Amino acid sequence: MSSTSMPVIKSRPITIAPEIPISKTLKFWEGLKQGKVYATKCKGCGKLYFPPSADCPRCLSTELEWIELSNEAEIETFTHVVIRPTTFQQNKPYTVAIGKLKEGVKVLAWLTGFKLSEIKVGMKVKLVAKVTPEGNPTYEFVPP
Amino acid sequence: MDTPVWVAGIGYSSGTANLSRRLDYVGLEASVLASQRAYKAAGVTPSQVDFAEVHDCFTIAEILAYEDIGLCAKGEGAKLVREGQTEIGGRIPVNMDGGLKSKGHPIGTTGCSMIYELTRQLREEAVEKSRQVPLKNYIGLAHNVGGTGHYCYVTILKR
Repeated sequence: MSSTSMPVIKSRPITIAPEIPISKTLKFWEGLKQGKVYATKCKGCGKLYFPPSADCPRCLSTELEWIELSNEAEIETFTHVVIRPTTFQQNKPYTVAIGKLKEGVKVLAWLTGFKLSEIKVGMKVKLVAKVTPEGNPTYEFVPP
Repeated sequence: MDTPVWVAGIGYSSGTANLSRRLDYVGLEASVLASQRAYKAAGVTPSQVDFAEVHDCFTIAEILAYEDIGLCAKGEGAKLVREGQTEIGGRIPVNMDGGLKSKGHPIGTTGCSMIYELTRQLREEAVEKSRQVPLKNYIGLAHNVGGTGHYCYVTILKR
């Protein structure tokens, strides 16, 4: 990373890009590419899960159904990240927020399209699905 | 070495790893449950504890820990510090060894050092005499958190 006055040796660069199995949540990942954000709902006890869970940790049911979420959310809390982790070094400082959706479930996502000074707890935002320029499906909060 | 210190009770709990699934942003459910289980196992109440070692991985984490493990009511953690209640002579001296940040938070070793400190204090042989806590019930508590607050162990030792 940066140079230092202390004696150092340089390690080999470490790149970690694990392959994450998504067979049980495939609909979610495919949905993002189509501009839709899906959650799962337990058929047993009715609990809603986001990110979607294939099984219900509350009642232990394995019967869950897919629910398309509305895009209406309200900001519950947020933080602005200036000192970025290694893998986000190429990004400009960014804002991460937790928004509560109309359905009652909470979503942790980047919040874009606002000046930092404009962001307030309680303000209305829109949740949108998108694909990054690198081709990764994701979702974020934007102005309504 | 002839002064045994007993494990009076241990409580542990997991919680969600996902920040957006927390019931509360100003506390850790795992800490609340782990401490309740430890108090029950040890058969003691928070007010009987003479002193504590809490997981102050950040300044705010210490204040929230006071509230989560019942050393004060919810929202009164800062007041506990301001009143000097967490110092020697206060209601519940906390982190007499300086806490995590002072010891460089060596992760796994942090927990060991908490038990070491409790033991030395309960035997009234604190490394530096100036930080020996006064003991009434001879009960000390260690609170240790892991991950992003998604698991917690509370250990109560008694002499």
